[in-house]
Amino acid sequence: MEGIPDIGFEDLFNAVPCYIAVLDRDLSLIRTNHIADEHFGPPGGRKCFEVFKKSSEPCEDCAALSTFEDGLIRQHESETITVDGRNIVLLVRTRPIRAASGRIVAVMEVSTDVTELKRLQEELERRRRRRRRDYDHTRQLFDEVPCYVSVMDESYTILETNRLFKESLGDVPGAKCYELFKSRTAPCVPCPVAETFTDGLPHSHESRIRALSGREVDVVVRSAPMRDSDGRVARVMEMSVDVTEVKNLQRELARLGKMSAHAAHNIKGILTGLKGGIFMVNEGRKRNDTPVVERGWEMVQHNVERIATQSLDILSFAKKRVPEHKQIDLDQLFGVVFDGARSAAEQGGVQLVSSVDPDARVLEADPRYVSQALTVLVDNAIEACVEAGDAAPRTVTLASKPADGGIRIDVSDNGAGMDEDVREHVFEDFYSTKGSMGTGLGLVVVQKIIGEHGGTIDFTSTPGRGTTFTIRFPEKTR
Amino acid sequence: MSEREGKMTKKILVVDDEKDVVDYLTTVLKYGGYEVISASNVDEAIEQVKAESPDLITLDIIMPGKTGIKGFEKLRRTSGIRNDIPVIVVTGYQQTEHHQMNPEFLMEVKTVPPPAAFFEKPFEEKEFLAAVERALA
Repeated sequence: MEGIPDIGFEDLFNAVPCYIAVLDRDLSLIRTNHIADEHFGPPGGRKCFEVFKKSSEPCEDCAALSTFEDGLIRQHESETITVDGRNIVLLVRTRPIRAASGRIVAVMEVSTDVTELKRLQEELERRRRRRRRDYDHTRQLFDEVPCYVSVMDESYTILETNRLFKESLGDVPGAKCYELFKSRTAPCVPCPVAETFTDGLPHSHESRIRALSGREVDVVVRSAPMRDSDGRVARVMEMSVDVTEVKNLQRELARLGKMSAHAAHNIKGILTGLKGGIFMVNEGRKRNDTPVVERGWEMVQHNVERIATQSLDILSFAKKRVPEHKQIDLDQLFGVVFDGARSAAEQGGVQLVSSVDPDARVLEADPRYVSQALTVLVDNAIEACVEAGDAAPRTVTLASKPADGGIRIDVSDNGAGMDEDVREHVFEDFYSTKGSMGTGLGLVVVQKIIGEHGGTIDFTSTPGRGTTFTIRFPEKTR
Repeated sequence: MSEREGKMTKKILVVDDEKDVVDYLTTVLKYGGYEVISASNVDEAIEQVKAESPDLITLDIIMPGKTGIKGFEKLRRTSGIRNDIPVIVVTGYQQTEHHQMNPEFLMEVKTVPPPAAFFEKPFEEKEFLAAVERALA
């Protein structure tokens, strides 16, 4: 086997994949390797700045001159242009070449083409910046979307939330969603998050949650999968849009629709009464049937009154009331309410009883509206007594008592009472047990008035034994 | 409108919770030549059917506390009374306003004879009398 020949300095000098140049103190090129000649042209007695920089002047801060000065190895980057017009970046290293005496007689410049490396570095930096910017945008989007966004793991633990979520529902990483939203101890059924973990698909449903402020919020919840690099659903994002206003509008529209239908129905009832009355007056006159004429005329008058009542009830129902609070002496107020009801009570043989606890005598509320509400309740109570008949003495009682720092008013009767069917619908819009004579709005308006004072109303009723409506006004009614 | 001979034998039960409507229909029917009795609810109507055996019933299908269809069904399903007496429904609602008041729904009640006619208040007296006459024919 033939031996490997000695590789001489000259071979190495010309074979290395970088540019090598040896300069003297005048920066004249003493030697260059082949690759340098190939890319920058043969030196031909020229200076380094003439060959490598295409310049007639030495570079500022010339590293070669500094190395001549202090003998230190230096490294710097330099941009240049090759003979074929390519702009390239060189990493230049200068090192001294010393004579046997130690004196620096020349400097060797070894330059590596780092153009591609620089390009890659810049690209990398650009990408890093873009990613940072994208992340910032995403984070900003996440924070600023006008819905509650949370990210949950499979145990329903909230890992991350957006700004609106934190502000409205609380900043509670680690909480379980069902605890936070629903005050539950176990996941909801159905749960869109669980469904997404199961099938990897988005799901949505409507729900009602409680905000930090205590406000009930209607939301449309949409869940979306967040997959890991294996495609497995690792987390689920839940986006809840507050649709309370939309829901309120829907309810209001439904209510208005119902009210219009009901009003139309009532008007038809009144028209029937008027038409019947006119028929009886006309036909009765033709036949000289006085009782029919009189009854017909009574019907006309009565139905004209019905128009007035129905209009007032509907107006009262639709009205936006802002209570004007005053100190009300309940003893006096009960008297006023009873005065209005006295003739109906006397006609029906119903006794009116008022009872005011000295500790619950003064109520701060709007006397107009409270008296309107009590009037409806007392009128209903008298009617319930009349309906029950006179088998027993009938009484309607208005009583005030202190309760939970506020005042409680009971309106009780020992009249007919309500069966289950009626009890279920008491506060329903347009529900009436009075047939054509009722608008079905009386108790709805009462409930609205009490609500506008921050109070509550409920009732107990037993058929044949009577009914008690209980109004609770809080300590502060405004 | 004049009373016609031979109609007095036909007895009509008017069922309505509104006294105005009862008096109105009573007048229309009496002047149309019929004998009229009345009831203000379905329970009273059942008693009247037992006691008076009317030839036709006019029924308001909305009454306090219960929907009309229940009243109609009760009238039809009560045992011990005739369940084939022609019934003319007089309603304050448009027939399509409520599923339970939809005549098609009522017609679907196959087990009992359906109402002979529907009248929406307010109605024309002549048309009403003509429907009564048809139902009795």
